[in-house]
Amino acid sequence: MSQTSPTPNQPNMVAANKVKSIRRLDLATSRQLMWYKFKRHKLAMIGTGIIFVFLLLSIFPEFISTTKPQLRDPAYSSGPPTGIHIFDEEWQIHWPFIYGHKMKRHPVTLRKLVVLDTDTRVPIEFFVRGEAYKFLGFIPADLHLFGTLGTQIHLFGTDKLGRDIFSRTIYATRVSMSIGIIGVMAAFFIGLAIGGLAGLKGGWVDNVIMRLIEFIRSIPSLPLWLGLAASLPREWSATTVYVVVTLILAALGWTTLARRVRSKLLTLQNEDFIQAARLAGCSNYRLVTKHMLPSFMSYLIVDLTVAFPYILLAETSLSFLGLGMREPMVSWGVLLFSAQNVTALAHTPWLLIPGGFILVIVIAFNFFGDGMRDAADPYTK
Amino acid sequence: MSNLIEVENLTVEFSGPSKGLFGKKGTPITAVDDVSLYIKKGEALGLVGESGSGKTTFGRALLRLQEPTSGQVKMHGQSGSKVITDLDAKSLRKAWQEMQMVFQDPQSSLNPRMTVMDSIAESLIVNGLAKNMEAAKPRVLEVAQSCGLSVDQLSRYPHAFSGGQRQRISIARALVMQPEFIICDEPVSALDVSIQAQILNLLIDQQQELDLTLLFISHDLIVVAYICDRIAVMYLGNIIEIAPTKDLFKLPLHPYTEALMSAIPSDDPDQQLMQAGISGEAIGNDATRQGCLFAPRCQYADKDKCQNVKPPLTEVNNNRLVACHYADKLTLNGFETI
Repeated sequence: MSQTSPTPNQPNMVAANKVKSIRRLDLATSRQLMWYKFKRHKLAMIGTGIIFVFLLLSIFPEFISTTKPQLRDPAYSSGPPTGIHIFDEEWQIHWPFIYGHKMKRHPVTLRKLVVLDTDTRVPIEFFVRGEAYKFLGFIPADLHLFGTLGTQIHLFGTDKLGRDIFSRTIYATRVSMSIGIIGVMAAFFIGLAIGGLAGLKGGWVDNVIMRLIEFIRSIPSLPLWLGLAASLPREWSATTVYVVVTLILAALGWTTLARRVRSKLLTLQNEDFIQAARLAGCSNYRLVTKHMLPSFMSYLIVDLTVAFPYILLAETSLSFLGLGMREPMVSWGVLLFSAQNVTALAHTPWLLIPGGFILVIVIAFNFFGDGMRDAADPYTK
Repeated sequence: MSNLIEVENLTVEFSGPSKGLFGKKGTPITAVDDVSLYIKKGEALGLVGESGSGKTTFGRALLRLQEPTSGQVKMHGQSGSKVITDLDAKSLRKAWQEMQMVFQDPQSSLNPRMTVMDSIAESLIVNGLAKNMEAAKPRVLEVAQSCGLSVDQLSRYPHAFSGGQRQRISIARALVMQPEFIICDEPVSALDVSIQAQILNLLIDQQQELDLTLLFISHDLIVVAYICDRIAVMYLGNIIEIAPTKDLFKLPLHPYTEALMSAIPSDDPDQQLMQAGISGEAIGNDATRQGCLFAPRCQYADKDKCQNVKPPLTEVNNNRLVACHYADKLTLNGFETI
């Protein structure tokens, strides 16, 4: 008896659920609808997760890295990535550990070689006290996510000067990501202002701005960056160069956005609901801010996510060519700069690891942008 | 009954495509050509014509959503008479409190990012008649209920509604300021026939209850006949005939009106369509056109007068206005069942 009773109830329950979900959609704001749509895009969700991890890396590099980016470990210069072991030579299982190392000369070429010292086992520990740093720039701290006591751990190996590539890559994440974000933001505001001016004023203003944009877009980008970056005085500090490079990238990135803003404004002006809002007595300011901007903001965000990897890659290429960031400021491009010659690549291929980071974040942003594009207009089925 | 709206020589021109970057502007296209008419207080005037005839442009020009090239629009409302075409931006916004519009496409006439409540209440708040949402609520509820919307629907977004319901929302939004004059720009052409009747009945009810004056723009003669007291027929931006609905259907005086009548599908499946149909397409109207605009498609046109002299809108026999040289000589077929 008790087993048969749920069956007739089932359709009712399904119906009740259905009604409930319809009502939830009815009350959903456009942002909620976008989220529902975005969630269905699996790759975009993965991309979002990766971007989130990178943001964490760039906010807390001091905590995550094992040492400072400029600190040298002369005893381990050009050293390969330290392997993390669980089994020792006798196949005994241990808590993850690394071996100590010794320096030797190659008997023929006299090149420095790092030899594992299997007698010393150094366990990896989490939340170790190490280098002192300022957490978020002002709280004194010395806690690190992981590390070893005694022998230094070099997850990604070291460069010619014995600097830890892992720590440098983590610190570079902050510089590169922030250039992307600030550059995109600056481009966003320039694009919004200039595109808005063209779209709302129309007439000759529009004409002049559009021709200007066409002019800027017709300049080959790499030579232009090179020219601009090369004209920066050599005596400027690394921070000044950082700011100026960001602005240069933004100054060239706004054109797509300005065009988008303009075209959206032009099409929206003829939409019925904008006309209805005019008839309702809305001032021009209210029309733009309350009715027009919200309806194309999502498209702008899509453009921004697409623009981000471009700015990131532009910075990387500039720094790679030695014209962008400079030491002691480390960005991914600066790190790749040292991987430029064949000898370095042949003997120390781990210098290329930062390139993998670029690859991952660019792909993640493309996935994210893909999802945003699908979600941008939640009202089309 | 006095006139609420008087239109004098209203003309709307669109500049033609310019030639090249610095080229001169092409010949302007005349969308509304020197139209004069009046709408009486409490009356529903229908405006019919094929697509591209300038109906919508005329409606928008009345409200100055589209700036007219020349001509005057006067409104004699309860707050006094004013010349709409002479108002500055601020007074125009104030005038819009008395004249509103219901748009054709219910999918695009509501802001998808605002709740129904916000959309309807917006004009109250923007015009300072209500300080905030809370103060606007009673009036919004009242007008929403009179348009057949329930209270619990108001917090939803437009995507939750069907076309007919959205049109109800549009009508409620137009009515919330208690305007005297409403332009309905094909309000039912995007709806199913069964829903069309509901919306038309709603418009009729509201018109009678609030003593509204309507300009009802449509290409569907039957719809217009159902709701309007008088009908104006438009062809290429010109009014070619204006008559009370019954008279127009019984005895059209312009060959184009006859052609429109013949295109109305009958409810009798056995009856053949009348063959007074016209062929060809309306050729765009610009300043270079001579003679009767309808002459190239008119089966009654002669080679002399019709081709060279443009017939003015004149009074023929019993107070009928028609723009045809042979209006008093032709005997044309109407549409019987109305």
